[in-house]
Amino acid sequence: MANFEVFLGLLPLLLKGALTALEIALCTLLLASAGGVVLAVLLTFSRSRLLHGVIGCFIEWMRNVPALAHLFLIYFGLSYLGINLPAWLAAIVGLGLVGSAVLADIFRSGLQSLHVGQHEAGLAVGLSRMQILRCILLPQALRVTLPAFANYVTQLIKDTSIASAIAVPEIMFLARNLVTSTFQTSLIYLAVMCIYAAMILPIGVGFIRLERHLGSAR
Amino acid sequence: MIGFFQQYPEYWSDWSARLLLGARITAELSLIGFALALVLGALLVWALLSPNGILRRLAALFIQSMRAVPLLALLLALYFALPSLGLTLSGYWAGPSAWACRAPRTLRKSSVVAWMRCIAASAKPLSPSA
Repeated sequence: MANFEVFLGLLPLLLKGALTALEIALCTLLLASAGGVVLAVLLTFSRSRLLHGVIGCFIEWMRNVPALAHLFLIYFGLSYLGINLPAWLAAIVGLGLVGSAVLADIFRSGLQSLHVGQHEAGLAVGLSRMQILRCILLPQALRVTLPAFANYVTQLIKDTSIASAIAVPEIMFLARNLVTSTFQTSLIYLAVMCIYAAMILPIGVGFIRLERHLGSAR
Repeated sequence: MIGFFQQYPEYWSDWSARLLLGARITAELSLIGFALALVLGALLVWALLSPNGILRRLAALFIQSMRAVPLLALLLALYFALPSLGLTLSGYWAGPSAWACRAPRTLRKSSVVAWMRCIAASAKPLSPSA
């Protein structure tokens, strides 16, 4: 019972960490989505082999190196070059770069799954390339890729936990600090797991409902 | 920038042995984690396909909860929290165990499911319409 009271006392701090984790995830998602769409469009419509090669190398590098290594390189490595990023920004940039590579692949597959005739039909009725992309291709591609996008979002929220390695005060970092000061290891980590589950499960359910609503659930 | 990379020749002889040891341990942990995941995944697939509703729900609950928890939290919980329950895992074994707990989510969707379904189908008698 005394343990439970200790736990209740710690809960506000853990929830504050959870909020920080969600903020980082949201900023990262915006950066990764923007980067992913741009890279996917370039990969799908550009005819430059050089551009394909450069983007391909970027995607392979980002996907094959752990996000933790990227965070360390951005946080500690850039300071060697005189660029000192705050920890939260380094986390957003690192996770955002990895995310843009992952989402580029997802969006590219979505764009390539659309029939080429749609692009030609758009040109035939006098739409510009940008209009075709914005009004015809991207909405359909996003619908096709919604399940993979949902997987990425839930994975991203979990991946914010590695930002604790560069001292971002998110939930895992605060939990580790609390463990060292209170020694309530089981209680705190169990609470952390429950908070993550409480954050992620509703998002997963929301995406499933959205998929059903858009008719993209298989 | 060039000065940054010029440090490699200077320190590489000192670093290389330790980094290669780390890479070897990473490979070992990956292999052990994969083997544990295969076993646990096969057990969970069996539970998911079992006619027992309680078993099916327990397996689904396990999979959903593992999907919703970050690997780092699971790893720290296994390493630091289990000793308070009287079960101690070394740092070496906590990693593959955490990975194995999360991997069934992937295995559930993979060929293991198809394989288990084939076994289940072959065990059933053919219906007259088949």
